[in-house]
Amino acid sequence: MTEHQTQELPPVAAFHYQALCGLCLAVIFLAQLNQGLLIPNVFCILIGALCLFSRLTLGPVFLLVMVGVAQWAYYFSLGRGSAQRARALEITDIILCAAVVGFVAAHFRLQSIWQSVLPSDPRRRAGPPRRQFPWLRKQPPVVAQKRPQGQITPFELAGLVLSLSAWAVAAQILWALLPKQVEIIGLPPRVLQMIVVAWGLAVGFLIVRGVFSLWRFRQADSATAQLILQDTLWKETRGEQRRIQRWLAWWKWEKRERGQPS
Amino acid sequence: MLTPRGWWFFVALLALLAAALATATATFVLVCLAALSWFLGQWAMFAVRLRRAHGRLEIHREIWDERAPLETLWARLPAEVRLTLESPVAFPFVWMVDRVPPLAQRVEGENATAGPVSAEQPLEMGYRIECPAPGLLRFEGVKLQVADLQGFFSKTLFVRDVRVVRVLPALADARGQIPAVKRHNLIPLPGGHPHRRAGTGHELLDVRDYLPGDPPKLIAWKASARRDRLMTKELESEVPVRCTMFVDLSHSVRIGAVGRNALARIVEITASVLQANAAVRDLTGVCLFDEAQVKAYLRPGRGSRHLYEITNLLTDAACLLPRTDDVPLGRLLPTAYGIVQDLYPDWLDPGVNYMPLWLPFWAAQPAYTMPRRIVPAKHWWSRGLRWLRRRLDDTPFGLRRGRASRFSVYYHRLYKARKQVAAVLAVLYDLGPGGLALLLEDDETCRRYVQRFLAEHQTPCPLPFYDDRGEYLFGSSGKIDVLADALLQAVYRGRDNELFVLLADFLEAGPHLEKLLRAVRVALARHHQVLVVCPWPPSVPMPQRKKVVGTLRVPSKSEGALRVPAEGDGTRSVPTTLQDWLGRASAARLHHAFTKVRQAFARLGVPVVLSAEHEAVGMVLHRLQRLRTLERGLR
Repeated sequence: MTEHQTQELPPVAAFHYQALCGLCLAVIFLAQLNQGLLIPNVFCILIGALCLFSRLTLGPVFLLVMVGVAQWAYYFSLGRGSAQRARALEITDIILCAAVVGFVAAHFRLQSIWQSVLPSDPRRRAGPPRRQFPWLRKQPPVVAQKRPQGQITPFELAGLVLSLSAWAVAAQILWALLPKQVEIIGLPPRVLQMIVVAWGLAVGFLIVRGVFSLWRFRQADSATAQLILQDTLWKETRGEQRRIQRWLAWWKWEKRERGQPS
Repeated sequence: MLTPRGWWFFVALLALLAAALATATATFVLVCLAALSWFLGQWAMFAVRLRRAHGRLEIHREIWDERAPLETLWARLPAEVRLTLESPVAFPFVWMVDRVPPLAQRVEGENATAGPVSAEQPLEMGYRIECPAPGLLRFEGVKLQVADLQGFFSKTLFVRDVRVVRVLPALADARGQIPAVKRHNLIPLPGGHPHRRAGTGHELLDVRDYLPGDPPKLIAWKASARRDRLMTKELESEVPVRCTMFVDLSHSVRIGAVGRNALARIVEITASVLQANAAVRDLTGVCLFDEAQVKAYLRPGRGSRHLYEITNLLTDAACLLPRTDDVPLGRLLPTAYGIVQDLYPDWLDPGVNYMPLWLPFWAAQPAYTMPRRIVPAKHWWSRGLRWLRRRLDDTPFGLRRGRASRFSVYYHRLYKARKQVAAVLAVLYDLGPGGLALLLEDDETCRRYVQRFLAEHQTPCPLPFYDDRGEYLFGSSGKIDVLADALLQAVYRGRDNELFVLLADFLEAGPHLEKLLRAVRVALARHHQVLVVCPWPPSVPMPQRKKVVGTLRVPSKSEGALRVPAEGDGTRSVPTTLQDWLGRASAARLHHAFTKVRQAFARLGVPVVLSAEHEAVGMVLHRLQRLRTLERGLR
């Protein structure tokens, strides 16, 4: 994006993310109202709005919990048999998923602007000393690295909004891959689903990690490659090397004690 | 890569997904799966961006004054550092920090900035620095912290771009004035007499009565006719005044922060004398020495090339850091580990530099490989005890420190730092396949390489000044011998009218000065002049010259009571803390040592001045002036 293009676009600020959060909350309310939820739905929206205006760090998690509570109440009222119905590509679910992901993403981006985008570094402190938990001694507060509001671009906002439906569809695909009415060795379907999700995540992590490790090894420069080789050799022959070097160190001191040149 | 925020959200998401699956609420499972796929997608995109950017991030650094980019800097003149980070891969948020070299001080602007980076939009930064002393500015590179927009993932990178810039001594004349625009005229003005002694030159110095034996061609006929007696013209000597500066580079003068220690002051004095001599076309030489040898010797000369040659030598020497074999490894390793964390963060990754958690417990360092003080047995009967103690140390029962320390958290942390630093140093200094184990087991070798690593990165570390017997660790007597030999060599090579300035620390030399005093006697016997400039720690008050005001008495070994001088302004303050008392006692000991050095040289008629005094440069120039105006017949 060139500077010329940036000047032509309208300025974007944190307010736009707040507006997106509000819009997502409204969509969540309507989607759940369409399911017939009212009281839990209202609580859900109130909690979401409270988290938004109070800038609560755990706001997105609270909203997820409230949506979960509302949905559990809905399925509890319908009865257990209806809970395992196939819900492939229901438009209400897709809209609800997109709205929840939109709220979560926008709220976390707001936290990067309001609080910090990088993990706090306890070595970087500035300002007058003050007591913080556990109140033992006064220390200057840790400097929080916030994202400046002026760096928000319209493209990131548009990209987020456009990608929401993709994540909702991805959830539908994953849901379709989960076994629904299958029983293996007497395990109920819900346990089987949990096992499949756990194994899917674990195997997926291993594969992705392996791919990235190979990629990293291919990109390594000569010094890094030397470090990897040296570390592998040390891991394999650690005991032998340790014995030899300790004997040499002892021998050096022994020679020095006897007055011989080392 | 995952930040605490990312970890918490990921764990919460997994817990909610598990709860949703357990309660079989399909819509909520879908919601959790959507959030999970979004989170994993962000993770994958961040990791791919990082991998694609690996090795392709570029730093462009320029140092500017008001007009143009610079290759070398001048001390005490500000300069602007401009940085540009270019990345072919777009990152939504990058925090960039430039490491300001220890020699430089940031006077304006911030050395950090944050913002997005892409191929079309580089990240730029600028700040102004000023160097208080000459030396070498070593810019290591730029530290980057990359994060996504949500703050879930972050990665610390370091773009290495080592650049060493020389900071030359400030252009100053004898009075310490810095010329702004006009340059020094290196050619003396017509009619000036730079060498006011009679000789065989061409400039007229004086007219005197004719003496039998004077060459007839020098008879001043007009003056003879006017006075009615024969007069002879006396011409000026063209033998120039020479000055050789002996600069001490031993570890004792390097103590302190870079650019703010005694060595920096010595270099400043040498450079000032050099520039003042160049202005009057006097010849200046320099001899750099340390405890072991003469590092460099440049015979007295003049000309711009000679001037720059000496200036470069002094500049390179000004940033040396002290080193000692008696510093515990536990003091060095945390500093070195911090440097490695900052400059080589990718080399601490567990994939390339693995550290098993259980290793410090399993393979703690035994006592028999640790450095031990060698105390010779004084009596015949103590030899047996020493032998027995050594044998016990070498047995498995002798793992005293190792056994106790393997349960300590501090030892585990130190062991981890040592292993990872050793791996990095073994690669940096090409120690071969066994280098890692060598540095991990041999304390002495590890200490040597760690100190070299710290010195190369201009990082001072806390050093002990005294050993456990109370002896000063930096008072090496070797440099006295080296200096004495160098002085004799200079006398041997020297000509008439030479001034030898010894800029060396003799305060802790003790009784080893005799050889140097003999060399000084030789120089004086050859009609040379000698001046001693003694480096003085900047933080210690200088001794009173005329009267001692406000003294306090503390016990002393030699005198029973040692005079502790008051502060520099003459006010008397009673020390209240142990630190104050130690500071006062240390100052008193230095004053006592200085008095002894001054007395030793005063017996030979050699003045001793302190480097911290403002008139140190003036004193050297005054001695040169005396050489220039020596009366005829005195020699």
